[in-house]
Amino acid sequence: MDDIVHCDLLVIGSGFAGLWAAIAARDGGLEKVAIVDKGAVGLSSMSRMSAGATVYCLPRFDPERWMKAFIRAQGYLSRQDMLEEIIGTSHSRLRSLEAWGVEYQRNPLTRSYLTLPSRGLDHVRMMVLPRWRDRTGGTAVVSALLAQVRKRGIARYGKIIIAGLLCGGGRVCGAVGIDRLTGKPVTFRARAVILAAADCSFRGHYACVEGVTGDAFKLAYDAGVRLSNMEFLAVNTGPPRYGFEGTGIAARCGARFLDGSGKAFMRAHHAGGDKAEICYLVQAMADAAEGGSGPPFYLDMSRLPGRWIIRKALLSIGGWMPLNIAKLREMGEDIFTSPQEWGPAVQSLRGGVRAGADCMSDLPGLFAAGTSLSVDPGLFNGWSSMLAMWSGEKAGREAARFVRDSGDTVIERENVERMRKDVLAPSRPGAGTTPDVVCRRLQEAVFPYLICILKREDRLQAALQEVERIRDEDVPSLRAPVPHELVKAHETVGMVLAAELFLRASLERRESRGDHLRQDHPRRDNAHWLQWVNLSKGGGGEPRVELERVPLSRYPMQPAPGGE
Amino acid sequence: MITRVDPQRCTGCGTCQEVCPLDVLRLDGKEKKAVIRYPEDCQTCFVCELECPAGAITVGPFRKERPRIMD
Repeated sequence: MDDIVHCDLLVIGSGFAGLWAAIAARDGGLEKVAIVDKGAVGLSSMSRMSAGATVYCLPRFDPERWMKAFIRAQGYLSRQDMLEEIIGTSHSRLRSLEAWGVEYQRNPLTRSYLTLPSRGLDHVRMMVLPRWRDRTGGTAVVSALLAQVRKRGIARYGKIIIAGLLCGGGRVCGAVGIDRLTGKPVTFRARAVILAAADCSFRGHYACVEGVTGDAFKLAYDAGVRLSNMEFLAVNTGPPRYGFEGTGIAARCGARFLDGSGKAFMRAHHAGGDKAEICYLVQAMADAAEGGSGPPFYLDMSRLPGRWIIRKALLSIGGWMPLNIAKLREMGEDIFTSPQEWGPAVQSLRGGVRAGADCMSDLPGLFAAGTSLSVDPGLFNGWSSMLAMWSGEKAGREAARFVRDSGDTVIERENVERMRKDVLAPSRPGAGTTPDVVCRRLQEAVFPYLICILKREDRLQAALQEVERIRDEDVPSLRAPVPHELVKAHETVGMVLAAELFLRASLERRESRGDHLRQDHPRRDNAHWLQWVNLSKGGGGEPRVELERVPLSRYPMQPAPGGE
Repeated sequence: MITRVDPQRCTGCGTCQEVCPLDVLRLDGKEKKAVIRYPEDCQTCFVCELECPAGAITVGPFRKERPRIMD
C-alpha cells in the first residue's frame, strides 16, 4: 500500500474551522498535519462565501449578558459548557486574526470597532467588514488563515471528497476519498481526524450552498457516532432568481416584507415585525401562505430613508455580493428601487456531531468542528463564524493532545481495499439513476413548506416514507460513469441520510421550539422537551433514537420555572 | 450562471478548475484552455470570475431554478 498518505492529523474541510484546526494542531506540536477538501483548500469553502461578520465579546462587553441572550434565543438547548468558553475566549481569536493581518472596520475618528447588533440577540454585537490585503469579507479571513497554513508547511489536498472513515482498534485511523479529477481512490492514514465539512443544505435555495451536502454527517454516522439537534433546519429568506446575502442588514435599516397583495404583514405575526429572528419571519410567511395571502412575497428596499446606507453596507460586504449587485444593475434590475420577489430559502441543517467539551465524538480520535459539530439549534448573524473559529482552534489543540497521548494506528489492507471498492461502486457499468434525478426527488420530499417549516406528524411520516424509498430503491441504483458524477453520487447519499435524520428527529420532538414548528404540538414544552434528540446508526439499518436530558442543573443558566 | 470563458484571454493556468466548488470548470488537456464542462452545476458564486487572473470568465447573476418551498 505505497500510495497511502500518512499523517498525524487529517482535517476534512477548510473553512474557518478546518483551517484554524490545522493551524492549532501544528502549533500544538504535530509534525504532519494534512487538510483535504472537495474544492480548493480554503478558497471554495462556505466561509469564503460568507460576509465574515463575526461575534467577538470585547472586554467592554458583558459576557454574562451575552450568554443569557444566546441561551434564551437557542431555547435552552445550548451546550452551555461550550458556549461559556466560546464567548469567553472569542477576544483572543480576534487578537490572533489581527496579528495575522486581518483588520475589521473601525470608526475613523475614535478607532473603536464598528459593530452591528446581531438580530434577535439582546446586547450581542457583531463585527463586520473584515479586510486582509486587497480582500474583504469572509474571503479576507479565509485568505489570512490560508497564509498561516502555508507558512507552517501544512499539507493541502484539494479536489478530493472523503467518502469513508477507516476505523480499527476502537478508534479512527484514516479515511478514503476520491480524486474529483481522476476518479481514483486516495487513502489517508491518520492518528486523528477532524470533521469540519459543514452541514447540509440539500442543495437548497440560499446563496452558495450547493456544495453543502451532509458529507460530514454521513462520515460520522457510518463511524457509529451520535448526531444531535437534527430536527432544526434553518430556513432563511432570499430571492428565488439570484443569490443575496444581507437581508438582515436590509431589514434592520427598514426594508419591509410584503405579501401577495403588497401589504406589510410581518407585524401581524410577530412583535419583532420585519426585524424579528429569521425563523419567525419564515414561519410568518408559512402562516400567510396558509391564509392565502402569499406567495409571492416581496422585500421592499425602495422606500427607505437610509437606502444609500444599505447599498453602501451591501457593497462593502466583500466577496461575490458587490459583483452580483453590479451585474443585476447592468441587466436593468436595480434591487433598491422596486420590490423584489422574496421567499423562504433552505439554508442549513443545524444539527451535527454530538461531542464532548473537547470536541471529540463518541469515537476516540474523531473530532468535529464548525457546523459539523452540534452546539445549539439556532442560526444568528455572526454566530456560525464565531462557533467555527472556536471549535476549529479547540478541536485542533485537543487532537494534538490526543495524538501525543495515544499510540500509533494500524490500518488493515483488507479494510482499505474493501472501502476503496465501496466508494467506487456507483461507477460500475450498467443502467441506473443519475445523482441529479435522486437529488430532485429528495428536494421534492423535503422542501415543501408543510414539511420543512410547518411540520405535522402525518405529513412528516409521508415524507419519511418517500425518503426511505429513495434510500432503499434509488440510492442502490445510483450510476456515475465519470468522476464528476461519482462525487455527486456520494453527496446525494449524504443528503438522503441527512433528510432521513431530519425527519426522524422532527417526528420525535413533540413540541415547538425555534426553527422546529409542529402544527400538532404548537407550544414550547419545557416540562418534557429540555432534551436533545440524538441519532446514531442502529441495527437493521434504521437509526437509533436516544433522548438526552439537557444537564441544566450543572449549567449556569436555567429557564424560569413554568416559563417558556 | 456561468456564461462564458474567453479563449483569447484564458492562459490555461488552471486556477478556475482548482477553485470552483462544484467542479463546473475543467482544463482541456489538448487545448490547454478552461472549458465549462458542467454548466448545470454552477451555483453562481462568482469564485471563478473573481479568482481568474486573466479576467477570462463571465458569470451572469441569475441562478437556476430549484423546487420551490411554496407554489
